[in-house]
Formats: sequence, structure tokens, C-alpha cells
Amino acid sequence: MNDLDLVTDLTPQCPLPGPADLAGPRSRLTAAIDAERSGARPWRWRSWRARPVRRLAVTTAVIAAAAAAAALIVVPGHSPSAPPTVRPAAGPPAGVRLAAAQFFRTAATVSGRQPVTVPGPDQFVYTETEGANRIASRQWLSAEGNKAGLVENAGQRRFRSPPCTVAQAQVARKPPPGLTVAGGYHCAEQAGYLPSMPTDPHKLLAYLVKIGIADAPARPGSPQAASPGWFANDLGKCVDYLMQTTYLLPLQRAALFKLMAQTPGFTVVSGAPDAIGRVGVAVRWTFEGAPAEIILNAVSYAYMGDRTWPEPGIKASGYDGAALVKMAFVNKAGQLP
Amino acid sequence: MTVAERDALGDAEVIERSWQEPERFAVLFDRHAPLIHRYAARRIGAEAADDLVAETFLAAFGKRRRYDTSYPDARPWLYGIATNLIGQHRRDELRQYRIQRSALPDLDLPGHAERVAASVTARGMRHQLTAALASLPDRERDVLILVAWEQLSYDETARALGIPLGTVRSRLNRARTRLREALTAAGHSETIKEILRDE
Repeated sequence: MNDLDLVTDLTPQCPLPGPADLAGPRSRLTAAIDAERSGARPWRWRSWRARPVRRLAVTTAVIAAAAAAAALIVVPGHSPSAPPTVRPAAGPPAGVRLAAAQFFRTAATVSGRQPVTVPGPDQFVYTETEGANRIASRQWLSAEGNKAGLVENAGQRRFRSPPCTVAQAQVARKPPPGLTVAGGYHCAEQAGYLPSMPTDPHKLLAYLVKIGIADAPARPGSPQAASPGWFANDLGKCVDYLMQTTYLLPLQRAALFKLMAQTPGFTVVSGAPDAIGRVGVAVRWTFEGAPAEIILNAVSYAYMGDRTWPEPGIKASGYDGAALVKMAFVNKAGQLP
Repeated sequence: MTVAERDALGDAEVIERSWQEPERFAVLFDRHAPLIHRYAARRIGAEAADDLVAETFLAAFGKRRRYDTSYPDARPWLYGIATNLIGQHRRDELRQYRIQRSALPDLDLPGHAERVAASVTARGMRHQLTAALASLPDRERDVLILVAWEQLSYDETARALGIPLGTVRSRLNRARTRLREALTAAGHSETIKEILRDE
């Protein structure tokens, strides 16, 4: 026995899927084949990055009923093209490298002053993103995480199972007609709104670690501590993920920016395009030679999207990225704002 | 094309024919999608694996004219594409490791005595080993998993990742060294000594 055997022994016991299990992915391939056969231009793939599936525990949801009554709300502070409700100073000129900590502090101030709007208990947080390949992705997450959500990639819809309480799991047994189930009927906890997320940066980090979407700063002497930029990379991707998929209260967004202000490893550059060509300010970091960026609106500091590049030596064409086009509250999964 | 004719063709021939007859590419999916799906499910979870398999084969279909047909087996090529895509799912992967860390191992694994012994040993160190695996640099973890979990040869791993054979060896060595260090730091030094003695 050697150490490689130990790793082999850890191989997760996943069964080989049968044809029925692979029908969904196969149909996407045959659609591409049919498109090429029908005389369309040869199929050219550009990567679309699937958004991670979140499994978060949501505790008591404190909901403001007044705002909840509205059926469709395009969320202020989360719509990249919308002007900020509180008007800050004009954005910086293009191509200028900004002091990261100061930038994040300003972003926290501006974001924290946005008006508070909250989804109703039965509403869904709708997010619409567009990849560099111009393929749209839509997601409907139950605000409280207690209802089945939907995800739609390139026009294909998938049912998402709701959280894992017994009663809710029973409801999840049968997906709506015509929808396939992503990953079977196992329970998953996910919510589009996290009212219990702290607004104090230190408590916020502990919370993110606890719910499993961020890692704690590396202990001295650990392999992570020996990797330059490890924590900036982890925090950057955590913030990217939250801002792209989750409705955050103004003070929660401010707390994320404050946390970034305390973290070395970020640079901020003005005049950077997002995945679909809109120009904003890039928050940039590099880990193991692979750059990544979050793009923010230069004036409102609203999240616009992300761009990532492969590590050196990895064969890939250019960057991958996603642009947030819209975030809104809607009343039903599948409803468009 | 009959089923027998289809089965008689190697991957490279299937890909080459698909240049003019794109529908033939579905053969490649039927042959290799189960393996790629299992690989993805092991690394990023079953829920995300469906999308990743679809993306892998869409990418492969789009790049098929650039496939080097001197390689009859397309499996390493597909593993390579899948691995690149998994790199964009780092958070899913880390979550999988957390789940594995907290899961109990299957004690009824079939296999000979040595494997059972390895299983028991690994059970004792599962937590530390999985944590160490999660903390490896991505490029070292890719090599280690392709070799240890997917049983790819060094040569196939090199093809999959588009790196020289020597780089596969050096990354694997570095990964194994890091794992040993992590286990030693976690108090498993006696087991590590035993491992080193066996080698």
C-alpha cells in the first residue's frame, strides 16, 4: 500500500449513469448536431460557465410585508444599468489603477445607502446572466428557499428541488410536468435571499465559512498560507458568486466590500469591459497565474459580472465570463419580470 | 451505419467521419459520457455533473476538427476538456470535499485483503486526507485525481491536460509530498512511515 492507494481508496462511490440518466446532456449535443446538419454554420462552442448550485441553510426570514406586496420589483442596487438611487460622485476615468482599499470603502458607503427592498415570503429571486458566448442563463430561487426553483440555460429549463425538510421533500417528489429534475430528488437547501447574513464584516466571514461558501483565512504553516493570493481568490469568488446569484441587502453588500477592503491581493482598474462589453471597474486578483475579475458599475458599484482566465499552460481560448443582466423579485418560478 | 460497423470504428475514425457527418459524433457520447459523468459527479457532485457532461461534449463537438487522429482513444481528450471545465466549478468541488469529509466510508467494498486494509486505514485518515486533497493547487489535484480515481496512465494524463509526461510526474510527486506532509502534521506519522517502508 502506498499513499496513492489511500487517495484511490477515497474515490467517491458514484454509479455509472445509464442512457436514461444521460438523456438531458445527450439531447443538448444532438441539438448542436442537428443545427449543423440543417445547414447552420458549423457548431462553435464557447464555454458557458454553469453557476454553482447553492445549498444554504436559511434561518428565520424577517420579511418586510410592505415591499413584499409588489409583484415584480427590479432590485435597486443590483441592476447594472440602473442609476444609483443615491447619487455618488462620478466614476473614475478609464484605465486608471485605483487604490483598492479606498475603492472598497467608497463602494461600501454607496452600496449601504441604497434603499432596502425585500422579497415577499412566497416570491422568487430572479437573476438573468449572459455569457461571453451571448447565451442567456436564468435562475429563479425561492426567496426563503422553501419552494422549488428553476434554472434555464440556453433555453432548457430544469427543476430545482427545494430544501430538505421532510414535508418539503415530499412536495418535491413530483416535478412540474415537462421539466426534468437536476440531480434527482435529493434534498438541497437553497435560497435567493439570506436575511440572516451579518452586516458586520468579521461576523460575515464567519457566517460565510459556516454555510460553506467561503474558507477561513489560512492558518500559518498550512498549504493555503504558502499559496500567494489564496484567500483573495477564495473571497473574490465568494463575493462574485453571492452578487451574481443572491439578493443582498444594501448593508450586506457593504459588508462584503468592507471585507474586501481588509484583504490584500486585490487591484482595481477602471475602464474594464464585462463579458458582454459593458464597461465598468474591474476588481482583479490572480491565483496560480490565473487572473480573475469582478466588474462593478463605476458609479453605483452595482455588480455587473465576472471574467476569468485559465491558468498558464491550460489550453483554452481567451476568457470566460458572465454578465448579470437583471435581478428582480417575481411571484412564480418561470415568470419573467 | 449498422451497430456492428459503428462499434468497429475507433474514436479517431468516428471523429474524422463526423467532420462530414456530424451525427456520428453521438457515438462518442454513447461510449464515453458515462465515464465523464461519473468523473464530474465525483468532483463537483451529481447535480452539476449533468451540465458539465453536456458542456464537455458540446465543446468536444465544436473542437472535433482539431482532434489529433493519430490517437485512437478519445477518452483522455474528453477528460481534459472536462477537467478544464471543472476548474470553473471550484466552489462546487470544495463543497464536495466537505461532504466527503463528513461521510462515512463504505465498509462493504469488494476487493482483496490489501484493499480492505487500505480502506480501514483511509477511514482513519479520511478527514485529513480529504482536507489535504482540497487544499492542493488545482493543477496538482487534477493530475492526482486523474491517476488515482480515474486510473488514467501517466501518458493519458499528459494528453488529457496537454502537459509533458515529466510534468505529470513532477506534479504527482509534489501532490503526494503535500499529502504526506498534511497527514504527518495531523498526527499520522506512524502510518506515513509504514507507507514509506512499503515503497
